[in-house]
Amino acid sequence: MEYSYFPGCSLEATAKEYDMSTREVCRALDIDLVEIEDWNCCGATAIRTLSRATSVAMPTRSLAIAEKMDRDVVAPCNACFHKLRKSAHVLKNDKQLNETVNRILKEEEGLEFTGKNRIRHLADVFANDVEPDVLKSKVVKSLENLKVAPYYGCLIVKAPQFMEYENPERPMVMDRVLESMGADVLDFDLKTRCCGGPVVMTKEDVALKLTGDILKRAKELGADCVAVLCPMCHFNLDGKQSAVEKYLGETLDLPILYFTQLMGLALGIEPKKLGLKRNLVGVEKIVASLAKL
Amino acid sequence: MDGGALHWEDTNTGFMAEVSDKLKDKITCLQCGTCTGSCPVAFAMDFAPREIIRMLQTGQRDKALSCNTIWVCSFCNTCYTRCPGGINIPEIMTVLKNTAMKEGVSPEKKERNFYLAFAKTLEEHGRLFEPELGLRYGLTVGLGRVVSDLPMGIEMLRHSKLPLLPHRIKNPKKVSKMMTRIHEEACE
Repeated sequence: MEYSYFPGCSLEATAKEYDMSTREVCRALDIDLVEIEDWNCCGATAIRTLSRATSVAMPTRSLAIAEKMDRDVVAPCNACFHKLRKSAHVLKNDKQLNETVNRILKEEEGLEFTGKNRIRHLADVFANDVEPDVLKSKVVKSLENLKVAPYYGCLIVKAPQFMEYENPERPMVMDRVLESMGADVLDFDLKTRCCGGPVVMTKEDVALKLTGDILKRAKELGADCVAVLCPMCHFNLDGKQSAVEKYLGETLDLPILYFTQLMGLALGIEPKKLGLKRNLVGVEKIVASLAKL
Repeated sequence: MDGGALHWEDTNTGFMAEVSDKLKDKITCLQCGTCTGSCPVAFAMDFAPREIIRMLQTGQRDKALSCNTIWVCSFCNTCYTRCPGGINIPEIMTVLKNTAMKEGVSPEKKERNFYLAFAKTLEEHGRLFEPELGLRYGLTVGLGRVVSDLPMGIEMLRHSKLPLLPHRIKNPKKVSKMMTRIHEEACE
């Protein structure tokens, strides 16, 4: 199985461990990720404030480069995934903007975007392109003693207008993958509640409150850890956890792992290769609980 | 614009037409309030999302552009997901943010600086170099902000989460110019 891989900027920097674990897990599952050559930033949730046309054109350039191959495009980051899909959706419906973007892409870089390739989230690929039995058969260390709160965030499923692949309020792709690998996946009612990712730099208190609500609920449900699939969610839940603790005036100490890190552990991949030292909230007890099995 | 009975048009100011033209969609809002009831950040807003749409319907342009709502919106898309009229409210917020940025009427200086810092790092590298964004933005807020962010920066460095060098695309300047051209020719 071959895919065009759009890692996104965070996976080269603050979310390097997501990139490391994604590549390791794909290798173990015989999934070939071929990085899109010279891909550029998708503009995230920021550039739209300055220009809506540019915000659509930025992901389109990378999609156009990817169209040199007939492969599904895979993005592990929710914001990238949302932006890639949204741009394709907007250009399908807005003929005028489509003409402008394509004409300029062609003139400047000889590129063309037609929308022929499907755009997928990494979790969707693991859930729907890999047989659950295959996932199960590759498990070396079972996750069965682990209560996992699956946290999806918003942009992976919200706007059903162009996210028809999943339920916009109660997605299950990550639940299914982790369950196949033996984890005790909790029915997490806040799985698509916003963590405040896009406003954490400018309205920190708002983000701390939202993130606090999510972390507290996961604790209440008895979670040993939270599994995430977005670098912005991870930054808030893990990176900002000590700030959230101060804000709430209580200790949380809740490990936040990328779902690919959990998958990697189950597949018996060395913690070092999964970048587990990069998680700010220590994950030692999670690793230890698996080793005991 | 013929929006039918639901498309309350404010004929005095044309504010509704201005926004729906940019949105390229009709804003057929019934004022049911599902957006506000679904909004996870409504608690921090001057006016809830439903009230912003009401301002479009009643032509209260200045009020809509100068309230904090459009900057508090976290773009989670829950309102869009649940709106029975399928109205793209986050995109309406974006249109209002574009307008507020262009006209310089936003009271939220921090936001303005953050988005400009974001754009600047993309112009330089074609990809986002997060430490540079943090520093560029931090300095616009003030040295105090940079100092208060230091412990987190050090913690991140300790965990090898901060890269020291940016990843660049082959020709950032060319791509940046191309994006500017698209922006200009799309008549924004």
